[in-house]
Amino acid sequence: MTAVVPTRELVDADLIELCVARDERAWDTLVERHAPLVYSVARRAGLDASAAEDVMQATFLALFNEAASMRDGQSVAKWLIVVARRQAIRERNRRERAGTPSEMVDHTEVAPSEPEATSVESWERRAAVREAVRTLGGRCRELLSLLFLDASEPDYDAVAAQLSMPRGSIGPTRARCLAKLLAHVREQCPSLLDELGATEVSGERPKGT
Amino acid sequence: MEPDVSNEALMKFELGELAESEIAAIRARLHEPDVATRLAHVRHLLHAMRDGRLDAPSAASVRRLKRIPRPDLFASLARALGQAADTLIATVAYDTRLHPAVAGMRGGASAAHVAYEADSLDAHIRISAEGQQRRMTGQVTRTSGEPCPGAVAIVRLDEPGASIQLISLDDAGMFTIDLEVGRYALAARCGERDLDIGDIEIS
Repeated sequence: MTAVVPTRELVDADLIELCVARDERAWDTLVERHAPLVYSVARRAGLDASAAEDVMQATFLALFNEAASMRDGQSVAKWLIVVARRQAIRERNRRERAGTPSEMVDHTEVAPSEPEATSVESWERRAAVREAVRTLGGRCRELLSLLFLDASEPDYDAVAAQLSMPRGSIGPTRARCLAKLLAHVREQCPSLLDELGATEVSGERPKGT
Repeated sequence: MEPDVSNEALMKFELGELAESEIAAIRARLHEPDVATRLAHVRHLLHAMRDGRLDAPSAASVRRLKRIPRPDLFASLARALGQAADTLIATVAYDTRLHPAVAGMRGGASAAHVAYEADSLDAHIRISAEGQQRRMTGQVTRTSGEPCPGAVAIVRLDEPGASIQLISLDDAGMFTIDLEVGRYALAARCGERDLDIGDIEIS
């Protein structure tokens, strides 16, 4: 008997293959995995929340339409970053040309723009780190995701409650999981760490949230 | 030979979780290339992790994304419309419920206007309230603006087993239908192509 692997455990390339075969669970997993990335790329391009969600919609629609022609080994995250940035910049320019009435844009929600020439690579490196966390699996994936990647920035009490673990064990477990992540990245993608270092030195990383 | 400095110890060193004596022990080893390189990698990774938090899109917008591929649903709508046709998946160009200023420009605060677009077809839908009933008026055109006579198939999404309703488009590509509050999917046939609209919320 073949064991059924939950779609969330699959790598992007396998999910794309399933999407081409019209597997809606695979599509849902791709959306859950990458929607925050695409949305954030659009927001950092200077769009408000509503426009960023429009860009997200258009980007995933393009992915759905292009999935069958994606090459083996092509990074889905990079593809999404490039398409989302292009769509976001087009939308921003369109709004600027149209002189969008100010009441249509919530200026308090507009994130500052990032340097355009360098950010695709920066986003790609961050996506690679997220993917490394995802592939850790188990408790480490859950803990690191909550502590470092969750947009709601839960405090230790919330993390302890969500993971049903004593608050006092979060710190030691965090260090152990980060060490495991480091070992994983050094083994699977050693150049990423040097690239991250170069990004820090040149100061080209996307602005923090 | 001294024991290796573990990655976990380096993590704790960088996170400030070690006692003074342990900190001193690691500092004494930083001249070793391997330890120094691994500590640099620890710093790069932590920096990337701290900087890696993403914004969260609204739950509603993520739900909309998940509804993009509905092959079975649209296949049944296409069958209701007749012979198979190429399909175009519509995206929202604007929605006055999300952009009130556009509603103002259109002069209709009591009705919602939603515009959809795809490669070669557009659709404009107006939803107005008639007591408990809602009326949907729509027009399907080619991107050039030329009206597109044909037909529309519409089905309620939030009512399992709901039957598909067919409506003819007039010469101007327009249609009208009275509906109850709910969520609907619609396919508009224009020549050899269907414009698929995945989720119309009528409230």
